[in-house]
Amino acid sequence: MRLGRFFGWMMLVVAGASGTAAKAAGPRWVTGAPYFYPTGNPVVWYTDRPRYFTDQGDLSATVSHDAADALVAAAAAVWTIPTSRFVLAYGGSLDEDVSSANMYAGADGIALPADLESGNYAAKQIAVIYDRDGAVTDLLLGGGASDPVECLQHGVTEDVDAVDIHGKILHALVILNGRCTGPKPEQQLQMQYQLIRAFGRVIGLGWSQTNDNVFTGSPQPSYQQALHWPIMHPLDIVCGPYTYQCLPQPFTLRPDDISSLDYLYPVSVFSPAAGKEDTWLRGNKVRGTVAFENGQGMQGVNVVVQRLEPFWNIPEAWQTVSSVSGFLFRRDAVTAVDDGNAGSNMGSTWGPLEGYYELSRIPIMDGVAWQSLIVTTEAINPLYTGEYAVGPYDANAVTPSGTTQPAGAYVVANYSDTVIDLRAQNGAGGCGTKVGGSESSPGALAADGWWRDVLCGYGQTAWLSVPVRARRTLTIEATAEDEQGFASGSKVMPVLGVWHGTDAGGQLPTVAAAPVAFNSTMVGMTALAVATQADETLRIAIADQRGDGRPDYAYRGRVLYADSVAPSKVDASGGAVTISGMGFRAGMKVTVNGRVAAVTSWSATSLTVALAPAWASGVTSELIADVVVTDPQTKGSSTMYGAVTYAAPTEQMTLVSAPTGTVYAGDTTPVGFGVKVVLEDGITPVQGESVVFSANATNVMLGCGAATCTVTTDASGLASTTVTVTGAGDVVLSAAALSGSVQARFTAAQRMRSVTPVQALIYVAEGATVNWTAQMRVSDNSAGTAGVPVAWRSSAGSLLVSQPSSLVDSQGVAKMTVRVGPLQGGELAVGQACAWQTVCAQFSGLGVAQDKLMVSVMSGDGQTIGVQGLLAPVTLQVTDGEGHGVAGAAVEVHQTIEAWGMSCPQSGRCPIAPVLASSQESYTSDLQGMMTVPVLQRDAAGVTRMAAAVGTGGLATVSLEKHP
Amino acid sequence: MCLLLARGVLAQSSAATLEDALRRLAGAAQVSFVGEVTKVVLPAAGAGVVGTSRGVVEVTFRVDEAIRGTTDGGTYVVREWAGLWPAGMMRYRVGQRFLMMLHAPGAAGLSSPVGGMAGAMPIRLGGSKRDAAVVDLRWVGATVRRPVVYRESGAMAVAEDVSAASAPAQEASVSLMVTMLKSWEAARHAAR
Repeated sequence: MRLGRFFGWMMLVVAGASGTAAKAAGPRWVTGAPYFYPTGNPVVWYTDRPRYFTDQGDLSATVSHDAADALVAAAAAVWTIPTSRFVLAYGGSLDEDVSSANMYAGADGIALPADLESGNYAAKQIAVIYDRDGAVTDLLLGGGASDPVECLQHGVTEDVDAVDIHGKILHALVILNGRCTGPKPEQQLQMQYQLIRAFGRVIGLGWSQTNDNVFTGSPQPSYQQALHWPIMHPLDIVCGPYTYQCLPQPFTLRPDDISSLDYLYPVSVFSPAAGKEDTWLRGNKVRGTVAFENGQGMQGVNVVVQRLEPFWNIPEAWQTVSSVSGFLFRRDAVTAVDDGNAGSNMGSTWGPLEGYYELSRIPIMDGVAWQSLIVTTEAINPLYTGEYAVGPYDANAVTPSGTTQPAGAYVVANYSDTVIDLRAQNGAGGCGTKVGGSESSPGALAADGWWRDVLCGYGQTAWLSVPVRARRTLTIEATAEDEQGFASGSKVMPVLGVWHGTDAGGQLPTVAAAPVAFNSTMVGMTALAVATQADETLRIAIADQRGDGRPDYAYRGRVLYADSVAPSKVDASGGAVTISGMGFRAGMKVTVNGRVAAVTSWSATSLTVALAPAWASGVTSELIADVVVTDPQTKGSSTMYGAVTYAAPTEQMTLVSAPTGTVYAGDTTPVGFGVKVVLEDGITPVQGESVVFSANATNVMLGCGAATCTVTTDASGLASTTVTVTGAGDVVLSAAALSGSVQARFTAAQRMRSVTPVQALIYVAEGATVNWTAQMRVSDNSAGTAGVPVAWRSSAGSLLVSQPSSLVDSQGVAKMTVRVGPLQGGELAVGQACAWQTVCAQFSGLGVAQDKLMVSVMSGDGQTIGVQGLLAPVTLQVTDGEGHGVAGAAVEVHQTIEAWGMSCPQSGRCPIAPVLASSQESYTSDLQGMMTVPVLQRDAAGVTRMAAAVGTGGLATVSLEKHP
Repeated sequence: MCLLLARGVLAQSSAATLEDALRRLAGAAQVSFVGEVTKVVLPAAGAGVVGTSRGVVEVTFRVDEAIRGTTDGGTYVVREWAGLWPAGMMRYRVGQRFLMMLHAPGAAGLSSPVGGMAGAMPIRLGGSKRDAAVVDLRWVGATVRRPVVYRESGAMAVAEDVSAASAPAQEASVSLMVTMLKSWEAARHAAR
């Protein structure tokens, strides 16, 4: 049920409520259904003579009880005037000194002294509390509310706390904050001024706007305007610490205040009480309607009147009285969207009151019997809303539509009651064609999602329906527009509600609601986001927040809804798709899977967009993506969940590295076999792809230890394996995955390594010891051998290596000094040199027995030179008799020089030549068995004879001549 | 002839500027936050005699930006004396956002905005973007002291456009206001 809510006022029928309130300007409240009956009447006191009762205590340390009573009496007296039957009089004292001792938080609210209870209204209508220490103010308004800095707001607090169902005020509280008084007279005068205004509210007067330029300062006001600025103005001017000083004659009611009071409590022409006079004895009344061009009443227009002296054509330079059109009409009504509107008890829904105004009592100028009047209209200051509202539009001021011509009432005398209907021109005219249907039969939403409509008639709600799919969001927007089509915050206050199409009527929105208008940054816009759960038809309501409706309540509606995408499946590379929906316009932003998709063309019902490749989002597999359409201007959006499916991106495999050329068995190739898997863009790596590496032969071992391995690509899309060759042959490597395959080829060859002695065997004379630099030629067909270590060792016989290892030099030779011997004849001593641990060669020394030794002349024999010359050395070689040079053999060499002999006689023995010199020396043969023997020399002619003996039988002789 | 009605006493207790007015409100407030009304619980309409003087209205706010006396992201329930809600005047509606500056709850747990409704500053909503939202400071601006100067009497002069005349650009972004109020709050802490 959508029912207005009302609280706070007692629902009490007061029999015999007095007085008949005329319908005129200025009521604070007006009765309305459902809680009040009858409707359309101002809420007034049930008695014309409510009495106020004052606290027994002092107001403050500086304001005694009596002084406070005097202050209150002065304020109350202002409201007792001859032209109104209302009398606000002192009734006596309350039963106590009200304080925190007897007014406190109770179990069910604020506990009050019994005589302050609203139920005691018959005895005490208005209780005036002297809140000496501010405790009561703090109790009700919060800690610190009574602080003197807040006296302009909380110096006086009023509360009309009981009104019966016929709109009669029964009871009220007025709290004077004693902390706002003090030694300065101005403080008490300020409180008196505030109390006058508070009493005005308690009496039932609303705020009024007359000569509002006094408040705004624009245009600069005149003194007379200030004198006609109503006491019941909504907001004070703050010109200093005391606001009563900001207007002239602050304790005197203005004609506008009097008009309002007279409206609420007029004096009947038939029975004026003592001290009273007929309200219109010296007054005029003007009433009528302000209407749109189509005749519908225009609510919320401030109607003001200026007077003209008789026979004078220039009106006074100030406004005298004002009234707001439609002040008796409905203020806030329950809407389809929201029932939490307690204000819905205010005002009548009777059509003729919608534009009705009443300038209740316009005083006739002194000294004349009649006058003329000029009635004009103006807008309500938009600042006057909420607690400061002037007229019925308390939620938001509404700018009048069009203009009205000043209207005159001429030569009006006392008791005149002139009707002036004001018809606006150049404003909103007709209502046009209603877009929406009814709640039970909503109108179909325009296919493009855009529409313009006017909530023209009072209480009108636009009902629309729109089919939607499941798992979508949409945004409903309603933007108030003025007569020129510009967005406006001072016309209709759009509120929105959404129901399932199958929901029964008469209930609050079941899907979504925006019960407060203007919830968007856009001027005049109310927006509502809706999420769908199923394919269905939604029912949409657009209403005015106040439940109002008038010809200038135009709005522009939009449903921003993305319905479907075609095609719904696309390649991973993306491509063009068309989004169907409604409410689109230029500048729409589309995102798919969170990435912006360029809009290439648009209409109100479709958007063509270029989808970015899936890999642009790092997607490597099939993707079901959300599509979001956003209006950057309004922030409205529509989402299609899971609307587009991207196919899994096609992958590519590329070769990153592979062995090439010849690789030797036993080697792990310097570069592995590596591949990269990427998406179609050639850039985006694919992680987690399984790549199978294999070789075509068994002479290769891959990283996993077999000829076939599976490796998963890393974050860079890379996968690789090592390759180790175990045998010779041509090798074909393959890498295969879902993304493709690649191959690589190389040749595997056997490694050829050798260690070869430069001289494998030496011959050593028996018993001799020789040092031998053994040499090994080290070779490798796969690589140079320089630096390869070679291990040397003795393996048999008398052979000793000087170091355990040596390195191969740049010539590919490793060397080692070896000592061989002593050996017996025929004895073999053996050593071994190994490279790469396993490639070895032997070297040996063989003993040659002494009896096997032979010596021969290799050079220098037979020299014949002159006596002046030098004989060249003689080279000998020791061998084993088989041509092998023998090292370490000791050779004894004898040399004699015989003098050049005389020739032999013809007979007899030749003469023996004398020996000029002789020598005997020992030599040792080198590794080749060689030795060089210097020849014994003399500077004389002679024959040198040399004999070399080795072993037990080896002998060689040499004869050399140095002839004369 | 012009008449100056400042009466010579330019208030020491009234604000000279909008910022001054805000400082006064902030200084008086024991609870400050930016929030959205999520719930309003009115006193039940009872049969017979029911007085608003006894009632309480509970207004629940979702606190978007805590400045003082509450925490971000939580809720804050303002319990107001029903006397402030006469005749169904809805001071706050569900869905509305405000920059609230409140008195500390009194002995009865009741509170209200400081400075009257000046301490409940409406926020024109900015959706999810806080910077797009602005705080309506017009009611605060109305409390700023200004001289009253009357022009020489003459022909009636009326504003061409009441809206333009009375609605100066007294607004500020929510983020600016929150930043400013927090800095003041920090300074107040530091001064203790």
